[in-house]
Amino acid sequence: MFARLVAADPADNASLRDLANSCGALAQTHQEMAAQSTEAAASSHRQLAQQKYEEAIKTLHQLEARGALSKFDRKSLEKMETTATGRK
Amino acid sequence: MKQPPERAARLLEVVTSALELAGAERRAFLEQACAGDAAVRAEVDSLLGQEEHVRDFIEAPPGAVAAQALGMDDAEEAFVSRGFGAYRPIRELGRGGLGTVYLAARADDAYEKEVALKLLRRGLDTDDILRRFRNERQILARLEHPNIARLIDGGTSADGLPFFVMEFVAGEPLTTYCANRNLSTNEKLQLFRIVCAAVAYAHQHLVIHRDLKPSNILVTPDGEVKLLDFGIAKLLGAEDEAAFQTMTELRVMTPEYASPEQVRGENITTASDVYSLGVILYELLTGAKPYRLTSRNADEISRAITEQEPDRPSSAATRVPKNQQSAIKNQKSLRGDLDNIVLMALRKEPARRYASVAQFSDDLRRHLEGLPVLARKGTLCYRAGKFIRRHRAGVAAVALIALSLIGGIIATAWQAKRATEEAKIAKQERDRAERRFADVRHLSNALLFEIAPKIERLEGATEARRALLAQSLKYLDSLAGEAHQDRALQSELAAAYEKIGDLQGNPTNPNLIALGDALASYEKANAIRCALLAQNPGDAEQRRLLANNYRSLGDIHYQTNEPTASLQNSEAALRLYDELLAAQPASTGLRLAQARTIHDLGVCYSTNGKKAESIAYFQKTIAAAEALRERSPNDPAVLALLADGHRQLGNALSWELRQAPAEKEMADAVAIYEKLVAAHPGDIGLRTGLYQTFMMTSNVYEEVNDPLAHEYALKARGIIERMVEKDPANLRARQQLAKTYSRLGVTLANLGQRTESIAYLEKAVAGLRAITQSETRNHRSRTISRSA
Repeated sequence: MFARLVAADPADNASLRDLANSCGALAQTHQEMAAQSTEAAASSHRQLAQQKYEEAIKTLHQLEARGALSKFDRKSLEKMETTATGRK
Repeated sequence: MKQPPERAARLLEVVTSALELAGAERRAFLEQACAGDAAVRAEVDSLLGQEEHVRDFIEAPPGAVAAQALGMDDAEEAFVSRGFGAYRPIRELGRGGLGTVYLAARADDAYEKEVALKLLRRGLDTDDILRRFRNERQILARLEHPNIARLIDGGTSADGLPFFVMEFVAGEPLTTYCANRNLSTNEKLQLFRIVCAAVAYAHQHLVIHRDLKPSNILVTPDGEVKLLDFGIAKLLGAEDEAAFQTMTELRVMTPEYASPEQVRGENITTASDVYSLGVILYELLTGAKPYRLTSRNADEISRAITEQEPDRPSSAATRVPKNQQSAIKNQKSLRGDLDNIVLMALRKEPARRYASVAQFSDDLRRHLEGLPVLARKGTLCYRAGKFIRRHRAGVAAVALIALSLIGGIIATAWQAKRATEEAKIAKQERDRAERRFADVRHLSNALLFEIAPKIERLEGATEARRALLAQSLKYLDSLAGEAHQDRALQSELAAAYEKIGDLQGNPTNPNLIALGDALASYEKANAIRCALLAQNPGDAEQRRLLANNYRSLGDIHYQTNEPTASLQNSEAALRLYDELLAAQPASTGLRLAQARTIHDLGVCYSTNGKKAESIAYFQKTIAAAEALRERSPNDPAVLALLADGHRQLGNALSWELRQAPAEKEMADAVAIYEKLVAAHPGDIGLRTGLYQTFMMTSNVYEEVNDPLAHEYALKARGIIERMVEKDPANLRARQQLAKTYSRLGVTLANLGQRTESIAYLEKAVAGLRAITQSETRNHRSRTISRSA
């Protein structure tokens, strides 16, 4: 019972949303750095950007599965999916 | 004005004796005592006139009013406009041995128009009394019974004297009411049973009156009975016996209604109230007091109470002159059952009295219905006699047939057996009820009124809140199944579930982010409150509590991203507040709650993308908060609401690309919160408000790529890092810290500092992953524990 009481709640969609947004921002920053880096470094940034986009997308899908995807979230998801797919 | 000592003593003697009498008896006494001295009579009448208006719980012994008015005692400080919190004294109603009673009104007209404000005299403001006063007044204030004058509030005046605020009752003492209306014995008994029901209710809540007497039982002109000053005596008592005895002396209590154990300074129990009620019933039925006293000497009274056996009421009634107003018309009606019932209540040994006030009242009901009473040992003759009196016609008919007589005897025996069984069941039920209420009181005290308020907004207290939650749920689990039709218990359960909901997920306090559980808790409370209000639609307090509940539900649904449900609940809350304010337009508390709900609705509309609607709501919020600020310029709740209104309006304007007014609103919000936090540095809720304002201001400046976005994010970080450091278990704060890192990452990226930006964003992702992964883990453990 105690574990149940102390648990963070699955309904805490705000944390998931923040995680998705942070991953998205991180991906975008890596993408921007890739554009300004040497080729070797750029490759690493692009790879990291791809990973973060995927994590962000996965997290937003989790929110979607919970029925907690807002209009704003959906726009972000679509934008990131387009970017990530374009990068593959 | 000081009186010459001899004259004052004479006046005191006459007034003291007159106070013992009522109606015609008093008038006859005064004629005789003041014969030939018109001046003395005028002064006596004047003093007795004061007594007529004194409805004080701290009633002086007879004569004390006179003594004070004569200036024989140290005069209480003249009434001046002392500070009594939200109460404004209107005029003095009277003075007693322990203080002064004023007619007063809420300074803000929020609740009852008129209340009785009872100020303890200097000397009773000891640390012990003040401490007990603070601990107990919340419990007493929750005694909600139509026949108990409510203790509305209490506090200490600006000059440090404790005061009580009671419901003001305009009525006559019970004995006077009955005498003036010449009520029959049965009518008196029915009235007395109402008194018993009120006392029994208080006993169920483990509150003993300790000072029951006719002047504490008022009857309004409409015949409504109101008991005054429940539990006040206990407040004025001390915990240990020795101290209590001292206090007993201090209180200079009217001793005629005190039980033998009170006089001896022994433990006080509900049986003490049974005894006092016995004395009152004795006086009500006979017009006389139970003991024959030749003086008011304290020793003689004590001896009589502890040693003398009272006369049977039917005998005592014969002593009362026929022309006395309180004399009863049919003394014979007291013989038998009523003699026995009254004398059983007056037994010297508490254990031999009625086990409870309810049992006492039940025996009176049996008498009224012609059933055998417990107070009389059930001889066959007695029971048969009762049966025959109840069934005269039937018995007369069957008396012709011997067989029917046997049937009658069997029926009588069955009645008696049933009476015994009923009494046993009633006692079991009472015992169970007392146990339940003891649990609830424990819960209420521990959770609602002692621990929670102290740690609710305290930094570093999340672990304590968690322990509190576990303990509270344990109590609720044991109590919830027993509430059934018990309205008082249901209301307490609803309050407990709401408090738990707050701890699980109220966004304005640190919480455990257990939003699903919080929602369930608020919904349980909502179901209870809806049912209670449906049973009694006129219950304004229940309506207010239900409105608060809808607001909480709106908050939780907002947090769980269910804007429609959030909107519906907030609108339901607003409707209820509007209804309440229509009846109480001057209530600041309701006005504040209404404004807060308007703010919440604005947030709902904003989240739903309806910016124009949200702007209108936030403008309304600001206007309402400004109006409240005019009344309460330093109220942190009002100022925080005002700041929240500016903040949300600024954010909405920013979405509408109205940057300059948006920045102005944000600046207003920041300024208000900064002042609030400086004035209340320990208030975590206000600090969270400032944090949120910094974060939102950062957002607004980010819209136009202003470097101030980063500055405000840094300010937000300063606040939230400290909160996490102080209370690492506060998941909400940890989530906010991660979000702040994310915001710093974004603002640094906008400034072109991408390496630093990535460092912050990585920290944010790590923190949020930890929270969301523990969430997944815990979700799994929940599934396992449920399936187990």
